[in-house]
Amino acid sequence: MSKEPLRVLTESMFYVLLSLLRQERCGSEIVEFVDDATAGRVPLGPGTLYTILAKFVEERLIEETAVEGRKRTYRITDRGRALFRQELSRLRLCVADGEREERAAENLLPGTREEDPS
Amino acid sequence: MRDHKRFLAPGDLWDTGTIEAWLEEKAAQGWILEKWGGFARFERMDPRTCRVRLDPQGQQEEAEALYAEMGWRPACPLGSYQVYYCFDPAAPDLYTDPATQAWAWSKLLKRTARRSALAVALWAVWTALQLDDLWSGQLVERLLMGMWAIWLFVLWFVGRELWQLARQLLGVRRQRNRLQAGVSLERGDPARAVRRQRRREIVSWTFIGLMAVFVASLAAGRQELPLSDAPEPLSAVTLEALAPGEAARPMDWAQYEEFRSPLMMTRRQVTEWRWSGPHLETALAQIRFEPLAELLYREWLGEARSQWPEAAATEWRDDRFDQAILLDNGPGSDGRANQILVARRGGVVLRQIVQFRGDPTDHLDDYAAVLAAFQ
Repeated sequence: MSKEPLRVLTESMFYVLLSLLRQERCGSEIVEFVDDATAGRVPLGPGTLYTILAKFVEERLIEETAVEGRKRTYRITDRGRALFRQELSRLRLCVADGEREERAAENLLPGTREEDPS
Repeated sequence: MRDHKRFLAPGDLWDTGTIEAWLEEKAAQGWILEKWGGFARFERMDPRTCRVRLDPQGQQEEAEALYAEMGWRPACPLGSYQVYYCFDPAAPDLYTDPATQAWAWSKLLKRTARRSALAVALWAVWTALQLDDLWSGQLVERLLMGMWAIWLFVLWFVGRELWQLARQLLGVRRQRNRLQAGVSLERGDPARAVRRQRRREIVSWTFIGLMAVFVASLAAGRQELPLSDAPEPLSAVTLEALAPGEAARPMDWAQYEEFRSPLMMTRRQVTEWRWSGPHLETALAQIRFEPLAELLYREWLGEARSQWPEAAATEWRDDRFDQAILLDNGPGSDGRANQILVARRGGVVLRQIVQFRGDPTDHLDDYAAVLAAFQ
């Protein structure tokens, strides 16, 4: 697995962190949460989930809190929360940039263009 | 109707997309993978449409329950991968995010690189052991005795293995790079992959078959007989001719050996000795290509010189011999002369190591007659 620290999260990674913000969860609970939260828009395959969990544990973004048989429960760490906030800020900036550019583009459409005073 | 069947499988293990497509085709025909191999073993089932995925993370016990819960059932290991089948079309794919899948492939790449390095080291040791004859000082003789085929086979086999290792390593790296760039793994044509593998198998088994035939012919070309049963003309000047007095008493050992190497050489050896002396060992090599005979002459002479560096040398070059030399190391403690005669005429080379009371130079015409008889 890459030793480079995570800077930008994919949608799957973002939602896995999100699922642990309020409570500890095991793998199947994370899948269920992401499915409900995104109304099925973000599918989370088992291979993807376990790769993300392993990477997050390695990066100390989450930690295991309980192991019962094959079931492992995870909780987010302070480091994980910080990365989540950082990602949220980045996404807000992305959204703000997108909305600003979209408004500007709408203003350039025929019929909505401002009249030239000259 | 058989419940199990073997099918020739695609051989490029890094090309997981094509293997997955092939396994999905087999499932649609009613066969589910039971055990992977060159000829993979399948178990009969009802023909079904399904998805098959090769997980580069191998088997993970803690993930199995969730995989099963989400519709992915493990079949068997396949090299470094674990094979999963999913019969639920609504279930999410095993990997839904190429970036995270790239992490799994990065791990696989590291494992593959470590294994490849170890394999290269082991192949290097194995090759060195197989080719140790090259440094034995008997290179020409071993070559003529058929080792050339073994060496070629070893080089071909090791070359093929190294080529496969390199392709595997580069293939895994290419797949990882695709995933890192956010591109899904591509799927080739399974039928084409199987045809390619069949060609490779045919070439490999042809080489192995040729090698087996060659080794069998070497074994069949070897015979050992008591000297009294040796075929005529005899390939040596015997002790009876060289020193009748020494040969009056029966020998403890009197043996004739013949070895035929396909394409290259027939080697005949006559050995006579008694525990208390005398001793006589004659090797006669009948070689198809004269330049190789000259090389063997030099090798035998070099061996003799390194054995007796102080021996006096007498050389002849006349119409009887193209090359001939006698090394005389003087008499031993029992008064018998220690001498080695090496002679060549055309493609026939003779070497006689003697320890007896007498002088081989009195019998040069006899040696010349033996050389002439095998031209």
